[in-house]
Amino acid sequence: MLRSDPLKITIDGIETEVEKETTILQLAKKLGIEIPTLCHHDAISTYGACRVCTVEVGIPRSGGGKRTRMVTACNYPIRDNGLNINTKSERVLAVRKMILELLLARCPGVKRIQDMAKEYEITESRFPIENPEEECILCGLCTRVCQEIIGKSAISLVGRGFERKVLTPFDEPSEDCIACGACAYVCPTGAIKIVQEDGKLTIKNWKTSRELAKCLECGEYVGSEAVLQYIKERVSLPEDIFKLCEKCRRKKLQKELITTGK
Amino acid sequence: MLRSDPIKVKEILKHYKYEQSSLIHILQDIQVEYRYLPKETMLFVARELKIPLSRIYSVANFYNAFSLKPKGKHLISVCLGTACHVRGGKRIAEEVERTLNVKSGETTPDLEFTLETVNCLGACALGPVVVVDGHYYGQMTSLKMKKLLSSSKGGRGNGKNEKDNKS
Repeated sequence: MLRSDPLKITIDGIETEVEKETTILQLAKKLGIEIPTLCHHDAISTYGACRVCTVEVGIPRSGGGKRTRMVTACNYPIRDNGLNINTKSERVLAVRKMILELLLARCPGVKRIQDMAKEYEITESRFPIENPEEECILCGLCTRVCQEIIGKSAISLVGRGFERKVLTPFDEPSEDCIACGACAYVCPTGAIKIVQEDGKLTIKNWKTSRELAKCLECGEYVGSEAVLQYIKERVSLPEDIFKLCEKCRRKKLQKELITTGK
Repeated sequence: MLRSDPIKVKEILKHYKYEQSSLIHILQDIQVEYRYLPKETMLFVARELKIPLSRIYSVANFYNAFSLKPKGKHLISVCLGTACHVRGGKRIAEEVERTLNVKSGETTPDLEFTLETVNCLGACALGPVVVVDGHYYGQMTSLKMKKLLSSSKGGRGNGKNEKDNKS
């Protein structure tokens, strides 16, 4: 691929050069400039749902003036020479405060949002709280990890407007879901609940349970049966890897090394 | 009761050459055929097109043109836009609700009628306006509505409110 010349831009007063198509968030990370995010994960496509990473961008115009816009840093690719990015201007702070206040009204009980809001001196939201139990900000990170990383697409965003939710098809136990828990792992607000009981792993939000596999040596749970099966289909690894827990696998390897070493 | 018939769905799929990108067209044709999207049909389409069921479910939920519950033979839309509201559209809607014993968005158990309320049909001069199977009825009164309902029942209808019905 043909590499284009790096672009000259300014971010928070720092003049720097950057490869075309780099997002503002990527650049900021490289320079150690902190931009808060909720719905972003480096391994998953960006979506710009939470708006928390909003920054101010001055785009030079042909006439010599500048056009200032508020953009989400996570999905704004840098394409112009002479961009002037400001991640901490008064306008940015005002917008971010407003976004956090709205998020706090939606999810008043979520620690991460409370903490983030506190950093911007917001402890209470002036907007009405619809459901004090609500924890989901509808960023869709769970649906994207399920589709892009796991490759199962067991869940999706369903409905429109205030009826929007993350659900399995028909809100019934999903056949596609293998209870890998990737959705709960990436969820920025901890809205996805997983419980382990009676030898089963249940993701409450998706109403889906999967049997847990036990280690043949010690009897500890290794993981969901369906996940092991899924990995087995995709990679070629020795069979016993799927039968033992991490500790027993290590012990076995140790033994083997010692005996062969003699 | 309408049952989904895989041969019919296969024909629709074939017509669109099993293209994943034609999903909305396919769902539209299924909606016309059955007046809703039966669950087993959605499962079938997902399997045949190799599209995740979650995506199809999401699309089917997003667009107003799709219904996951069976719709009646006759679609009655009562306008509750400002002009119709002022001229008593609300009373017409209540009249239909009483006569058919359904609420807005619901379908009668015999699958004859589906009632919905809309927020302006752009025919304010005719208000209060009611649309039944694509025909506009202006200056409605409770009495006229009653007559209209009894004359519609048993008729063929198409469960659609589009003016020019293609195909």
